[in-house]
Amino acid sequence: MALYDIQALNFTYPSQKESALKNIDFSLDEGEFVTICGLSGSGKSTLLRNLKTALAPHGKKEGIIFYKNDHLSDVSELIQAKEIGFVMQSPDNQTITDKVWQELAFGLENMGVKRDEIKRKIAEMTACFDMYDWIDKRLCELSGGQKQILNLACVMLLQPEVLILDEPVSGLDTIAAQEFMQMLTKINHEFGTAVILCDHSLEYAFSVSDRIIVMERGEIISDNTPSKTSEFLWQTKNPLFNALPIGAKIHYLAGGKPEGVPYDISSGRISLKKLISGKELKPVIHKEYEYNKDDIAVSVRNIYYRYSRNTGDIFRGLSFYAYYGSVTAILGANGTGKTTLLKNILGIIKPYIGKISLNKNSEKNPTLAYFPQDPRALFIADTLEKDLREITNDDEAIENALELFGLMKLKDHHPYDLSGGEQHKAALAKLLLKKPDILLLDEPVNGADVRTKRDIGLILRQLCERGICIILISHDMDFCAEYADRCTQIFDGEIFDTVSPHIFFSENMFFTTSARRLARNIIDEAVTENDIKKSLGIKKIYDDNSGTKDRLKNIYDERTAKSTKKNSSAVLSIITGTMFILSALAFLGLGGIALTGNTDTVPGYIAGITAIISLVSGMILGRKEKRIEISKIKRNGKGIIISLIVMFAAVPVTIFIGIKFLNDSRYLFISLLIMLECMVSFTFIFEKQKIPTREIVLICVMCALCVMSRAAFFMFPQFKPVTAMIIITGAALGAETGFIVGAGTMLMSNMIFGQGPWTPWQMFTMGLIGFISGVFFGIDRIPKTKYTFCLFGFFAALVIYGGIMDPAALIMSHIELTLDSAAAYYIAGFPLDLIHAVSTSVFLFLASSGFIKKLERIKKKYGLTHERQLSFNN
Amino acid sequence: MRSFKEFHPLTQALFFISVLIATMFDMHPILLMISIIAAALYTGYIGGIKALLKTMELMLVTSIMIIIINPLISHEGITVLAKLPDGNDLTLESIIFAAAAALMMSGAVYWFYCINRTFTSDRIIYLFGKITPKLALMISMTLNFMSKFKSHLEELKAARYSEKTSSKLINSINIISSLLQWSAENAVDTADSMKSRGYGLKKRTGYTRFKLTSYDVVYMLIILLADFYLWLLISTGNLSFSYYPFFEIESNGITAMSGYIVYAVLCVIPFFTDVKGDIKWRYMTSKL
Repeated sequence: MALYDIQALNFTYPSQKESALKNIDFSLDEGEFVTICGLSGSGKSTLLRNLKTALAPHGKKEGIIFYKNDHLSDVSELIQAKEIGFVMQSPDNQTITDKVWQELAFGLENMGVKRDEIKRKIAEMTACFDMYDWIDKRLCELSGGQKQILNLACVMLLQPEVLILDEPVSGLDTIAAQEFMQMLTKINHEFGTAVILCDHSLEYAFSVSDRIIVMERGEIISDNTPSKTSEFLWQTKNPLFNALPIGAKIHYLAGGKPEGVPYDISSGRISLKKLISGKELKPVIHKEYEYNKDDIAVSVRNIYYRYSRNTGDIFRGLSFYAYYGSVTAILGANGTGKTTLLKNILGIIKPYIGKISLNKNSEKNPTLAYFPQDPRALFIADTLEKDLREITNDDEAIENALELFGLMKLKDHHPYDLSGGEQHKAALAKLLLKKPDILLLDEPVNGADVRTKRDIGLILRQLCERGICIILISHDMDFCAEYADRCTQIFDGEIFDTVSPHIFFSENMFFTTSARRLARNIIDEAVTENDIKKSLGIKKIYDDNSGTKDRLKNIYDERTAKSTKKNSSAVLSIITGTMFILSALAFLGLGGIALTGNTDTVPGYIAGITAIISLVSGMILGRKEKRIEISKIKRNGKGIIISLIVMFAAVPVTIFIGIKFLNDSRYLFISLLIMLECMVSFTFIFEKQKIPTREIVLICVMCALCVMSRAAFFMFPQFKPVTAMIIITGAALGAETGFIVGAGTMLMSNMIFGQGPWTPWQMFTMGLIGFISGVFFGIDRIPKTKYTFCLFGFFAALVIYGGIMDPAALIMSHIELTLDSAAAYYIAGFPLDLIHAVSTSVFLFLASSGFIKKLERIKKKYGLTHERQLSFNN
Repeated sequence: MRSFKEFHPLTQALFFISVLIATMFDMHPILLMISIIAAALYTGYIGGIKALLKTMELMLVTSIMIIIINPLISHEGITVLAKLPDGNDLTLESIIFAAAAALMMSGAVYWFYCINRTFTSDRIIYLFGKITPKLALMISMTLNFMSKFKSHLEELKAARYSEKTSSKLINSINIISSLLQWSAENAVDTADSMKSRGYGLKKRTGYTRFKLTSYDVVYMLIILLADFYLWLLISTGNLSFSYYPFFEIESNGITAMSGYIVYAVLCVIPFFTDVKGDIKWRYMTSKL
């Protein structure tokens, strides 16, 4: 019986004309191991996601998918969740909870499995996957490879019939990837679980798969056994041929027979020996990189570094030099401090002993550019072109950068909608616009397919010719051997001497390129695939690279950049600044009147009037300002109504009962009761409501983000953007979400900074701010400009937060609550409230429109609005 | 031999709720003293002098504010020390009351330090899980997101480090903005992964690693009995006191004494179990 039988499947994303899948026909038998390969964008992920209803993308679907002789759509989601296991690419994104044991239990809890059975199953799985040592750990303490194995274990706990894996190893280093693949083959062999694996590196797939499906532009172009597939790739000159294991590649290129194609190193060596027998080998000549002392770009001399006082040294007397016009590759295991070294060179962190200096290449100081491990850290705008404009306004340079990486037709796309390889290229394009003299690259080809790797490698060589200094960290040894001038390795706080790649890789036996492993003692000098090819006399086919040089030159050329920056923002900030000072004075004055009771105090009047003027002027200014578009959230609205009833009915009743029966002397008790009522009713409604999974996730993301926003402003201690973030959340995601995020943020934040008697007050106050913000900005008549946000923020911080939290201290300490005492406390806390208010409104002034724009995109993507859901690739 | 840190979350919660309610709702001076001494003792035991001083520092401003402001607004009490500029009396009683209030706040903050150290996140998740499983899962998810964001924040700081074009403030805003985008886009995968593992299809069971032992039950009974006796005495007026019009502790008899002792026993439970465990451990290892 076939597990899957797919007949004439067509699929088109909503906003696209061309189908992502065309006439897909294939079937999967029980216990079969099938690999789907293809370059990025060939429709692999779309196909895999269509195999499970819970993950199926939105779009037009034709054709039939049978799962165990039933239509997939008729198979209940519960059975699908159990029987169809899915592992995604990113080890990080698919983890859900905080601790390993929680993560393991998650799927079983969803199935409603009893506690003892969960325990037994987890015990079994930890033994099988050998992860007993990490069960107590937090997920953030695991490495990428461990996380991916955990994800596999979580899926296996549900005892699936078939495992679907979407590029599970493309983000992992070689050793972790091997380990993962071994685990996968073990599962396939020993438990008979069928596997559909999709991968763009075919390093492992050929030796373990029963069948290989090749996809191109949404179509299956080949579906056959590994040996026939490799023959097909070779015959059709498919670009995927380059992704084959090296032994197979050499076998075909050197004219080996179609039978007995080697897919692993040991059979590859046998085949290579056969191929060279009787042939005359050409000598492999390695060009030794010769450096000139004057070309020194980065010198790191004898540095000592540690993360904090009590941890051990990461670097102990490390010295390292890099030169202009060369690519220096740094290798080494995870956690040896490769990224830390780059950060030291960048100057973000400083060694406690030793010196790092950057030498000039020309008359000006060298410009540095850093390529982070996740290139998406570089993107900020909503289209690729706008993103590049963050660096420069030079149209010609931008155009050349886009052309250089072949991204011209994607310039209006959102950077996050690009595929992995395109994102790598876009990030490099952005960095090149800075015209860097020293380029620091942290894993620039991690998870990239063969074509992207080659493109990036060739551009790095061109940059070198221009005299740029490139320092590269990569797990990809073949990439380093091919494109680096010098290689080195960090180990135990020290760094080895930098040597040419051929020396570096020929000294090692295990930690070396696959070409070296293949050709060791056979063609002993060869360390790269090209070396082997050369010595066998296989011609290297060069791609047409003309134009690259000119484009690079065009990017680096100095042109008088057009300055199009407006100065109006400075004027606006001054206006708002004065506005705040005025309104602050106004509030002070009004407070003064309330306190003294002397209504004839002139300053009070003046203050009152200026308050009104500033408010009105704010509104007028706001009228001209561009409106911020906020779309309505899909919601039945019942939750808000019930919670409003609770708030406005239960609160007075509680106060009444308090006054009537408790003689009004137990303020603490009454106020706690009120807060509990509000929060419990909210929680109850929240618990009962059926909220889409994505919305739950988004709420958690916003809570975590609000807490972390404190950490981002580490250089401004009094500046806490939490209130502003909660206001934005409430406005963009609605009153209910605003309340939950507000209250949740304070709970979580106090989990880190310490809970106290103030926790319930803070939770209630922040929840209230989020709620009011949601209600206020939900009213259609309110003009939603950054000025309204600004004023609302000022009001919320000064009146709501200050107004509740200051007297709360009074209530907590049992001091008699009167108008006088409350006012005294409020005034005592006023200076701090004012700082809070000003920082909140400044933050909102600068950030509200940008943040809401981003949240709008996310709302569409998550399908929270009434609009049609955005399509997304990947 | 288990230390208080390893108690079942329900036992811990019952203990902390009991002492916090007693500390924060009843201003009896002797009960306050007992509570703050016990809290400080345990704080010192688990966090050392450093924790004691740091927590004290945290409360200093609030305490000073209470002690200054209360005499200015409250003029009850019969012992007049001086006349205030606005014509009202400065009384000894109002200062004593403020001092007691400051003491109460400090006691509460010490107890909260103990909570933060012993009542860890998975215990909070467990308790929430009993009442509202959805929120419990969300807390766990938020903690996971926070650790993910923290490491990405470092990467963002590095990636944006060389931007000399903008001010520090704008740069920080850009960093959060970028973090927002990154995290929300990635979280789509998290949501998909949840759905793929069957979230929301059936009523969830809550798996927990905590097991209620007989040991826990005994301690819970002790705590409940102590609570019952204490509040019985309070409600029958056996532990009455007054700050105004003059400071007086009206309860001195044997009943009151027994109340103090019971309360003291309740408050030192964490300290007692930990010290007892330490001694027993040493004794056992020394015999080996």
